[in-house]
Amino acid sequence: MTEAVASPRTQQDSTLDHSKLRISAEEVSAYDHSGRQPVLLGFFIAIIWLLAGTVMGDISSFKFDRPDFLTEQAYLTFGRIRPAHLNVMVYGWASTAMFSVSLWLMPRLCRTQLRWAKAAVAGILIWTVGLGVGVALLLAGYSDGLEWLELDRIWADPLLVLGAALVGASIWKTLSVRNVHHLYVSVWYVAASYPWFLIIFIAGNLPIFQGVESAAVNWFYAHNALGLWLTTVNLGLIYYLLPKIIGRPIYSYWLSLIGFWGLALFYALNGMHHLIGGPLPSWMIATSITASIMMVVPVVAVGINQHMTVVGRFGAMRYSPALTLAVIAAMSYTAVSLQGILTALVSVNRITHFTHWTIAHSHLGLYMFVTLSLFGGMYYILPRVLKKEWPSTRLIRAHILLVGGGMVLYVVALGIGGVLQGLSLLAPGQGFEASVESTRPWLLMRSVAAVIISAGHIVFAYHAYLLAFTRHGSIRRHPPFFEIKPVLVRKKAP
Amino acid sequence: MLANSFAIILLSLVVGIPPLVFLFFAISHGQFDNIGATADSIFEVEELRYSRPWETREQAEERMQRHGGLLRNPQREWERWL
Amino acid sequence: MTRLLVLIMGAMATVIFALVILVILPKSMLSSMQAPPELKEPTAQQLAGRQLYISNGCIYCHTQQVRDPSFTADISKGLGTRPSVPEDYVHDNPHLLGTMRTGPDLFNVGSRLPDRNWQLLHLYQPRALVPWSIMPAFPFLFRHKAEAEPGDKVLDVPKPHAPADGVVVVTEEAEALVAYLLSLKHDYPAPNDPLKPANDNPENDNPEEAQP
Repeated sequence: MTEAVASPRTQQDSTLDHSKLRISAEEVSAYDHSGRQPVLLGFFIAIIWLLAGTVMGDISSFKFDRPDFLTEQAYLTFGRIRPAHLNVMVYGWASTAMFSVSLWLMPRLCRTQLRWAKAAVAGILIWTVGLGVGVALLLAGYSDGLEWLELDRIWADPLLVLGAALVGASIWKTLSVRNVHHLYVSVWYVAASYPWFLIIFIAGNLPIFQGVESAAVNWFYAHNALGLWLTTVNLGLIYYLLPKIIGRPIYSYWLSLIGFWGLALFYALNGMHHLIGGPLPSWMIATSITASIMMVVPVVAVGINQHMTVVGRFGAMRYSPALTLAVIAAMSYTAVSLQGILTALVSVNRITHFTHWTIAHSHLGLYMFVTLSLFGGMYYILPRVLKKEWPSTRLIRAHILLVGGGMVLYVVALGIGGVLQGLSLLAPGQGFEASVESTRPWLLMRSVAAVIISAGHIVFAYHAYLLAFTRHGSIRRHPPFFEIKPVLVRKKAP
Repeated sequence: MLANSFAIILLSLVVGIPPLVFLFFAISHGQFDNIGATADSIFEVEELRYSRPWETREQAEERMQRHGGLLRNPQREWERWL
Repeated sequence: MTRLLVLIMGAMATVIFALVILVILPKSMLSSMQAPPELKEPTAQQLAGRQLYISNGCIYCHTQQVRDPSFTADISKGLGTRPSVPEDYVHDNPHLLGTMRTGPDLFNVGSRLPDRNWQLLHLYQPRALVPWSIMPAFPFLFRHKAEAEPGDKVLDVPKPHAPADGVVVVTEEAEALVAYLLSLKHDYPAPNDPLKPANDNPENDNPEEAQP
């Protein structure tokens, strides 16, 4: 039973009978158990894709430094490995892990067992097969030719659609039989993501567009894949983890509403900002720039909401790797969104467009936000589903420092390189050679960062293996990072 | 200016009006009252009463005043991992 | 139930609205767009080359768009004589506008670098012609044979980059890709406003519209 730690000096107990409203630990455990199979399957597959995608990313990065590296075989050429890296990371690592996160969150938030769990399992498997087929075809030279939509529309895309639809069906079925009166904010984000993804993915892959229409639909899809799929599920996760771990409800529920509907309304119109200066009717580009600027509203709403929930308690990060990663991810979301809004302004875009800045920006979003959020989610979820603790403090610390530090180096180095490249491309009298030369040291730093990050991934995969498949899990006596001298919060006397 | 502007207006109405209608019904049936309580729904019984090792004295006292006497987390989460 | 309906219908409404504004509406507006007369339909060889461009991922380093001179240096750097317009892309399926200029823009590469042999050698080993280039080499688009057979076109590779023995023979793929690259020239003037419907209102016909 629970032990009393301290008693109030005035009131004995609060007047509200919380046990009538609150969920019990046993219930929570049962809900976690109901989704066990698809959740674990998704995380397992996601880690495999993470490792594969890391190798592809490293090879791509090294090719910038040594252009004649691995050029003999067609399937290793940069133009195939680079999109393979993107597709494996987005659809393999991130999306599969997001399936698991969604399937874990829904039963908890709806206070009911996961329904159609077998459909969810089938969906994850079908999705994986579809991606495998797509990537194999991509390396063999069969690409649909559109960025983010390269996977073959006949052999791979239908499997992806079916897989995501099955997972979405499980989510919505569970939602439809919920035992809660109100829908927590994470439910909106997670549930809406599935119909959003299916609609934009199908629209993006329809072979009915040509010329500049094809460009418009391409970037309609790619940008919305970021904002209405990758962002939304992870915001849903962060909205759950931050208050839960800290032990305070989210700062303002109304801000959550504004954040969600603002995102829904404005985000979908942003896509054309990838084509600023391009051969599109100017009203389309203007619409996207306007919508991009309007995104300040939901982004700031979410940022304030999350900050005010954690403020004064950042010391909790020392006790929880999940919280550490969720906080960094949340801050990165705000940062990358504001950076994106700035980049949508023509005055900034004229420098950054077509440069490595775009890659730095995309990794700030896809890694520092999406990937770190998913790592945090796995640090929180896996022990609860496996009913075992992560075996090693040191491996967690190594992982977080390697990937966090590595990616900060990546984003800063490539951001600088991109700006220098852009300035060179604008500078009168400078030939193209100058822009290439200006990027080389920064590309090399990116390769160094890539190696650091890869080491972090190997550490994480190994640790996950130890957790899931060995008996290494033991009860730790002390919280993680306990040995580190507290910096943010003064250590309390015992 | 647009050749199919009538179709666009009609489509916007067909797509946009129904959610607004349902929103109105939801609000009028009181589904958006007491919305602050939703923020508390994610917490387990007594979870808000657990003493958290990172909190300062003032924060711990505030927690005590709002939710009652502090308890040790039975799952010992902050001695292991969260 | 009502709450769920608000969620799903609201979410659908916002994404469908964006689809209409950014995809469906422009598609119908641009459907009347005509190809400029000087822009020829691609030949079968050029289309095959275009497929190779796609399958080898050239878009990940090269763009095919010239931007407005009012806020960029594209024209002053020689990428073209005028900004690219939607009509230039009517035959493009899918578009290959690109988003990175790790390598130069190729919208008018057929005008800038029209020599077939230069292009072939550049594909085989970019650094044979451009020492500072970081473009990957594409030796797999060529065949390395011990000796040339009759009918083979041999690529003349400078000593430091040539294989130790044997000859490098140009394949059909390499020829097709180069044919595609050389077809990338848009030196004709930009057509008029593409959003004016072609034959909508005969009584409002502007005499100037009769010009191509």
